[in-house]
Amino acid sequence: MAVHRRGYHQYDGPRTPERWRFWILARYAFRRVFRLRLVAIFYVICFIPALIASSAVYLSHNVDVLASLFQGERFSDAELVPVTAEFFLFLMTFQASLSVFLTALVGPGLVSPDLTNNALPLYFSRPFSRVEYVLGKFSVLFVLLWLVTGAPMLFIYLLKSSLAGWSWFVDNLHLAFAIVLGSAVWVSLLSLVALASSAWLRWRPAAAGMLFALLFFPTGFGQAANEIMRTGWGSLLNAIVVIGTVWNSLFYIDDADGYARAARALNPMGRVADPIPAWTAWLVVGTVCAVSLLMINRKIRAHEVVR
Amino acid sequence: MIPAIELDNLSVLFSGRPILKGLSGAFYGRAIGLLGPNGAGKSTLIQTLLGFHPPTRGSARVLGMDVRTQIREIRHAIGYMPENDSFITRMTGIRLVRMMAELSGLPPAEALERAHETLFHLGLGEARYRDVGTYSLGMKQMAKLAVAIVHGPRMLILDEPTNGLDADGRKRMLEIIREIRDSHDTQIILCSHLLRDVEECCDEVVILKEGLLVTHCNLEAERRTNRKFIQVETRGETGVFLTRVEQLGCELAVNGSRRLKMILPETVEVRDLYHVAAETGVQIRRLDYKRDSLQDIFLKAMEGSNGRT
Repeated sequence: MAVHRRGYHQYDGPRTPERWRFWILARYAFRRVFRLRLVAIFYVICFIPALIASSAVYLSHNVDVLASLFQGERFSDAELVPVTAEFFLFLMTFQASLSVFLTALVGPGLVSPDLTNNALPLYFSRPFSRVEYVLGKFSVLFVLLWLVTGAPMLFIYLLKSSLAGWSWFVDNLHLAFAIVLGSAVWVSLLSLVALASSAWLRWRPAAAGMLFALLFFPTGFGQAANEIMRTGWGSLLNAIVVIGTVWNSLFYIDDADGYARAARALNPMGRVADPIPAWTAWLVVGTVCAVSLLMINRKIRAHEVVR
Repeated sequence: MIPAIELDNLSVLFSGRPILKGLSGAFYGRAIGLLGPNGAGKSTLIQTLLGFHPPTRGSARVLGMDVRTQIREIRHAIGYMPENDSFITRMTGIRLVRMMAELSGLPPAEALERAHETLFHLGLGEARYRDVGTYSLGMKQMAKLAVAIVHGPRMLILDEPTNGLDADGRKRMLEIIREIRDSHDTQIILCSHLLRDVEECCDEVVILKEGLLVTHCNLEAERRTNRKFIQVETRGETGVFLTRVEQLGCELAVNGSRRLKMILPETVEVRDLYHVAAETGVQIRRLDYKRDSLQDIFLKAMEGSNGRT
């Protein structure tokens, strides 16, 4: 019978497994996100630095191609683009800053419209829990952000390995580990903060503004504390220093000198005496994630009970 | 037979304030009306059945499943239409309904087919590719109903389904509810302030007041009882008629010289009265069934000051 002629009847067909049901939210959200032209264009732009970097890595191993491009120039046998921890740290920092803007574009539209339009009872009256809802929304941001941070760098790592050989791949395996874990930590942190601000501020521009405020306002406050109290602990409020310290601890996991150099480089304005210890940076990241989760837990409910 | 809802001393407290106070009962109706004034606890009861609020004391079972331990199974079996506007912005009707079907566990292809089917069935076929945010109030109500029934639930919980609808919209909504009820596949819990809606759709009524269950009645049985309570207006000499009617086993109350109220026993039908009247030369000028409407039942329930059954 044609669809438009059928009446009401029960469904007794097969059902999908519950384990991956959170992914339905992400699937629908991706389509909505990329319907916004601004997001689609910016997303493409986010890949350009990584594309340039991977081209440079490729060309540095193909001097003849480079010579044909720049006729008359002579290129030495020395590596033109050294693919080291510094290289990845620089690229990671660049991609991470792009990811902040991407989060500001995508994040506020994930939870706040559901709260404004009272959509949560529709989700939670189904076999779909609050945890699955948060996981579904989180996975939207996580996947989008990881594809512009961790994924391109992992691609460069594999490209370099294919050009430099198996020994380079094995010798620098700690870099692959640092890329995966470092980007995952940053992306998780950013996603949770974005979801929390989207859950608490129902007006989308305010939620986007809150994201920037949470990242940069404490930085200024911490810097002021450092200056006034002649200490380095104010840097614990500085998002760039904190996440930089976390990445340093991963990229220089077996290189104490390199870590010390990178830590000094993170020293804002070059005036603060002591860089913050790595464990405190990890603690700050963990605390911010936990607080964000608590904030999300407070707001993501089918019905708000007025007490 | 498994009751649609079974409550056993169910209590719910918010911040120490009792909202539901020890509700007990088993409700078997195909369509159960949930009535009560504002603040009676209707919405809290519905939300407790949906697992939004945990019971503080006692227990509740929906289709035989416990709300504490089997909430996921319960949510597979029910469809919920909330009272207020509930939708997802920047989404067409078909995508909203399809997504909700998928969240209920339907595979994507089945979900799409049933979403089309449901929207056509509810009269939103032409509007299914429009953004839900652009729908009129009546269309939004139908879209909410579509979301509630797309996965073919065994029980449908409707919270004020005719809210904000015009006369035609209300009529159409009630027709659909009755159609679903008569499909014998789905039991309905209808929460409404409009007694006529409940009267037209439900066969069982539960009335709450101040968190207590004050009345639980079977409207069908009530209607059957009322059919035996009649008022008669006669013309002519009624002495012999009354005697003969009493001999039939009817209980009589004479109001003036011509008006009678009587309760017929199970074995006596109205046509027997006409036979007696013809034999005794009495004209029956008027005969009414007593209509103890839902409004009377509701008002009686509200009169009880202590709020107990």
